[in-house]
Amino acid sequence: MASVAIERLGKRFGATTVLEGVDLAIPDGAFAVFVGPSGCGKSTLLRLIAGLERPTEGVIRFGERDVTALEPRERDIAMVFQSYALYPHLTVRENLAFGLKLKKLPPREIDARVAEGSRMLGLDALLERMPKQLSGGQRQRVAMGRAIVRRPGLFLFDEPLSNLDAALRGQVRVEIRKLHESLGTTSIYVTHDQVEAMTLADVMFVLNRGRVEQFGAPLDVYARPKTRFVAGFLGSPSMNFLDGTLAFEEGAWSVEVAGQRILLGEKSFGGLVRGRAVTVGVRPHDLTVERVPFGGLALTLTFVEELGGESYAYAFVDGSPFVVRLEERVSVKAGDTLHVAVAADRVHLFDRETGLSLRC
Amino acid sequence: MLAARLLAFGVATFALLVSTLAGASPVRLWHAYRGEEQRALEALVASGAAGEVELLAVPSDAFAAKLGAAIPLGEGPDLFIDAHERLGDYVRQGLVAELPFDPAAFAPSAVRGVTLAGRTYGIPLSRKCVALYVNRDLVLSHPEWLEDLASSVRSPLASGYVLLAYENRSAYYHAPWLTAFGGELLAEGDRFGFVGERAERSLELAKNWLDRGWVPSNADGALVAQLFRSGRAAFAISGPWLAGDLHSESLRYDVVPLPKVRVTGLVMRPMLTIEAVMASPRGARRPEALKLATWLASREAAGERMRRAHVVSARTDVELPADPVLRGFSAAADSAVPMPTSTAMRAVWEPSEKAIRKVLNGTLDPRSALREAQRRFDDVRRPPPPPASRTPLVIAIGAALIAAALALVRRARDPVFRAEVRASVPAYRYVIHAALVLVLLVFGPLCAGAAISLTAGRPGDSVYVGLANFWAILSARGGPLFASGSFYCVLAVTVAWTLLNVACHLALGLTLGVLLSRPVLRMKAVYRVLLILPWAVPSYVTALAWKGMFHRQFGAVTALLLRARAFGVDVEPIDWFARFSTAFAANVATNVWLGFPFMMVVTMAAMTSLPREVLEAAEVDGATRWQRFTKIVVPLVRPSMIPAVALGAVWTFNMFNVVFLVSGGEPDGQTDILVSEAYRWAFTRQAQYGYAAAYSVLIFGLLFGATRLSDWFRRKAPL
Repeated sequence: MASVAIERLGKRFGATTVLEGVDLAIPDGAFAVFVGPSGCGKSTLLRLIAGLERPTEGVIRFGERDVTALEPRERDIAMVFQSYALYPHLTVRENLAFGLKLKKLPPREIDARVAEGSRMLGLDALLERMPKQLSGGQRQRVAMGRAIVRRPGLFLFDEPLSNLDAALRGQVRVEIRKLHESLGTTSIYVTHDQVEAMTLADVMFVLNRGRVEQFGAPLDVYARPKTRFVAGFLGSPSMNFLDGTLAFEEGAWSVEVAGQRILLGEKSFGGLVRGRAVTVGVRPHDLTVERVPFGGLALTLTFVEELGGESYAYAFVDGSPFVVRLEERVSVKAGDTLHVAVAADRVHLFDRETGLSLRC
Repeated sequence: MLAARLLAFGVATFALLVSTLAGASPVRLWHAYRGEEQRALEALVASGAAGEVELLAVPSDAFAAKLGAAIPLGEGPDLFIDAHERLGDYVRQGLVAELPFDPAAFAPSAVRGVTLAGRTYGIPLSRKCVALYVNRDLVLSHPEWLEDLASSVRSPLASGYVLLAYENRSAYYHAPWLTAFGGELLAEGDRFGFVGERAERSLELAKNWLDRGWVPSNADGALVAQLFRSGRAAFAISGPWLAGDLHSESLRYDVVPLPKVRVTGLVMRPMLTIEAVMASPRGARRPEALKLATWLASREAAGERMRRAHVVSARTDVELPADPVLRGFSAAADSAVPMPTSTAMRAVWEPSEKAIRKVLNGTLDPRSALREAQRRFDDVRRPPPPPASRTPLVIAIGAALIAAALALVRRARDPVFRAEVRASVPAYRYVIHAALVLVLLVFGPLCAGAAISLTAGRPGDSVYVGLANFWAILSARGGPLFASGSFYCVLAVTVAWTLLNVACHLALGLTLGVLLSRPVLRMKAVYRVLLILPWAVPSYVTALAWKGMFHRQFGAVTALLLRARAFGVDVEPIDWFARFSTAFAANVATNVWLGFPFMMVVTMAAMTSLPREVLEAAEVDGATRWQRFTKIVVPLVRPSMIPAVALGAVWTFNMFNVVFLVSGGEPDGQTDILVSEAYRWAFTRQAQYGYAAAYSVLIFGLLFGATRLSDWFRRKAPL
């Protein structure tokens, strides 16, 4: 068991900077998720932690131990790869036992661990098969089993579910979380899927362009995104963004967007300067439909998506796409005008230049 | 006007046609001359003194084979110019007709050379033999006695210089030493002559000269030429071909006849080759051909040839030009002994040279070495097995045909099989030409070779002997089963050679292939090209280069070893080809150099299909670099490597080039492998094609069996 601490970590491939000044800390026993769009450096960060790549600068510590210069095998880790990376010439049993044999554990211990691991993952019937005789889900389990039987101090998952179909993915996601709860081993999980990130993480790190944009408990990050990027990346459908100008009238703050006004209330907070150019962010879920137009936006709908329980209404505001989630069956259709409002504390404000939230 | 021109043209054409038809076709003359000699002959023919002649230059090493193929079909030349020592063969094959001439004007030795059983087969043109080259810068006077060579040098020779450069391991060059003791290579009645006290004493003398450091060890023609040309040899024994190499103005040299040996008082008499113009049976019936032959051997033509080509004439009535080199060779030729024309001579060279090498290397005393040589000669000259009855063969073939026919009939009655055949008829149409080519180029020769293995005797008069050849091979011709040169001994060497080579190929190829597949390696493409280079160079070029590197005195390997002395390591130059272990090692080194790129390329190809994540998984799982290699890389590339290893094993098993060119079977044929042994039986030991073919059939059987066996193993234990 180990906590993970990373300081000023950087990685360059030739002239390309993949990671820059990454600082992060993962407490012992936590399930950490690195999430971000493709090319954000999350996989590279995981490979640096695994020791499969060498950092250009910075330090990686497991607990008190500086592992920056250590080989992967000296780091006491186990990794589940995206392609599962099973040894194609070995049976499932031999795959599971491979790392244990290298450790020169006594054969009885190896058998016991393999039995335990295969029971946990339901691999008992597959032990004598070759990897090519297994389905994708079964291979994924073997890859996890191979990690579990080694009882490492740290589990690393590199997009382990991306090669599974959607139904299986949800199921395995739950199993991974359960396994983590029963084993309690520190885990780092890399994904580009925000659902996996939100559901699995104790602590979530959102990466963008080689930097950690924000970290914290998933719901915190979701509710209080520090940057426009995080705000836009998390949530589906993603947040609506509108350019506007701050105004203060009749003792209340508001944002003027294309001649309309979004009210922010009377409470003042740092960064509220009259006339400041801002980007307003509103999640489709936070909008409510107003029968009487008051302090909200009037939308001319271009398209309505009915999903049964809910529907999404699409419009353009000042040239930017805008989505509204309609809770119950509101009977609207394309061409209708809809008045929507948003609670003042659900309005996200970002500096238009820096993209930083004004609320923090 | 136009009509008149056309008429004139027509008349001229007709006249030409008539004259061509009426006049006989030109006399066809084949020769193997190059350079000056070719130009001299062309000039003589062009002078027109002997009518119309069609000249054809044939490469000398293919000369006899081409004559043998063309003349019996009536396609060959009317006349040809060749060395007299082949006459024995030509007469036996009926390729040459008797050609009487007046011997009065010719050197008696030259006349003796072209005379077989009292008949003359060809008119002598020129005489060629070796003589003593003297470097005037190093030598004071021309010594009369061999023993005085050392004292006739101006000052003691520095290191890197030799007193006498000659190819001391060649029987041809040893012959003068032998004649100085009154010996001869081939005795009366086609017996082996290089045996007995005279031969022993000649060998002792040659060994003595080698031990004193007066002659270079392991010298071949190139080395002798190089030493003398660069002024590092006081004397050299060589033929006119060396003079052609000595165009440099700075070297002042003379050519004189070989000296006398003081212990016997006899002259060292070299072997004489007489070039004669010979007539094919057809040519002998054409007066114009005989006229051309007579004219080519005439005094006038001989003088012309001597002036232009600087060759010693076979005539004694030609005035010698002032050229001192020519005069030297002329004097040397007067004392030379004509090479025997008997076909038995061909069986003399190999055993004699083996004996000479053994004595010079100090591995055997002269008496035992020469006795062994005589045994080898007698072994090669042993009478062919008696003709066998063809009945068993006929019965076997008949039984096989009947069995095949029965099987075919049974299949043909099977309706499923018939339907399948009908369905695949269009497919056969696409492969039929390939199948025909295979039958013609592969199966045909294979069957012909197998058929030859059932015969004995020389080409032209072979007889069916059944399995006698196989029996002789497998019973080691009655000798001990594991004697040197026996089938089993050679087989053991071949197997060891194959295993060792393939193991080294695999180890080196796998290592380099894995190294070159590393993604972090810089300049990968450069290394890859450099490492594939040995494969791209023709193997015989590589083999000859490596043979040069292993030369005891002048090779690069020796130079490297001597460098080690600078570091306080005491090493002596190794005579690589004197012992089995070192000669074998030199062969293996050469072949490993030639063979590893193939394994490397196969490994690299296999490595590209290796998933990177699997290797990383092993790394995370705790495998060291070595464990990743042995437990992951090797098992995963194994399926691609197995066919490559099988191919490599077959190639190595039959790697004739390296063995033949690098060690040449030395010492004493011990490093010969089965194919090179088969080659020797076919081409250096009395053309025993049947015996050699039996060897080949055995090799085929062994390889076929081995591949079947390995397939069976692979099926039994699939990956």
